[in-house]
Amino acid sequence: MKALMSPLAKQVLADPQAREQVRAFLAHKSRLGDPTGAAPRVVVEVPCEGTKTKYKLVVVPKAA
Amino acid sequence: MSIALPALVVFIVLFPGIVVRSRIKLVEQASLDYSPFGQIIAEAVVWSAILHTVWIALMHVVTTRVFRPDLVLKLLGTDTTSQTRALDQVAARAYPVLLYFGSLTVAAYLGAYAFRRVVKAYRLDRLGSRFDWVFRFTKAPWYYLLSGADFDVDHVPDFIAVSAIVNIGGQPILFTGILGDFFLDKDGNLDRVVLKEVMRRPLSKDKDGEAEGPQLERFYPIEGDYFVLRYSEAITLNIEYIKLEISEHHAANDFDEGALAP
Repeated sequence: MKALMSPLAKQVLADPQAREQVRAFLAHKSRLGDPTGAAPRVVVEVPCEGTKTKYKLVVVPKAA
Repeated sequence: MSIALPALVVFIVLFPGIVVRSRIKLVEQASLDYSPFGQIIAEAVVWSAILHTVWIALMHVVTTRVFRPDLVLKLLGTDTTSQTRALDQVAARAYPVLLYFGSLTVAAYLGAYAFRRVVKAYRLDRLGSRFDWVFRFTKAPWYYLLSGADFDVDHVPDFIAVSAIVNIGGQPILFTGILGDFFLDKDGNLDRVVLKEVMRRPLSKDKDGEAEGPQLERFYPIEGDYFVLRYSEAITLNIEYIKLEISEHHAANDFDEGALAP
């Protein structure tokens, strides 16, 4: 069964540089203390639009 | 014959209800139905009653044919003579009977599929929605936890980060990665998860929250496309929902390579 993964997430994970940023984010989170400190930015180039967009990774609270 | 025929008739009559019920419980070709057998039969009977009522009315309007409940009762009876006569009358109407059950079965199959698609598209089974008590798979909590189906359409995360502690050789090891797939066992419990971009480190390599600098060096990346982790081997499993929010937007020729550093 497919887990939750948006088209944007697939696009990010297809980019080697962005993938390293995601790994850095995961490593940054798994430490003692405040895990919500400055998170690394993941950069993804949006194709066919001539733009590059910077995204930041944010933890979403679980639906109540 | 006197025992087999009524059983066969009951099965044929209930078959559309069984089809609807089984198809409604399907998500991505996997059944999320973990109900006891008695409950399955009871729900199939209810679905069959609804379907036959609707279809008999529809056939009457379309074909002007009249439903003959006396024939059904004779087929279900124990009197062999009445059964034989009823069978002869059904055989004389073989084509309309086949058309009725054939069209009903196809409609049940397609209707149930369409129904589940609508429920999934509009998130009618989302916890807290008005009709979640009707549409929700109450016995499939892992599905809602790992598919994001409980999130409102405007707040759906982009992916799920999973961290698991596994005991390897007496040492707890922390694995962390992004959830790609998950599999449930026949009882609806989580069987295994498939992770991507997985890293590991000994749990003892925790660092104080005050530590600065890159944390990636504490981790050993596991090369490979997918990492399969059995739930039975995980001591703990941590799940986080991650969203990608736009931070800045540039034209391609304005992009600053120096801004990549965390």
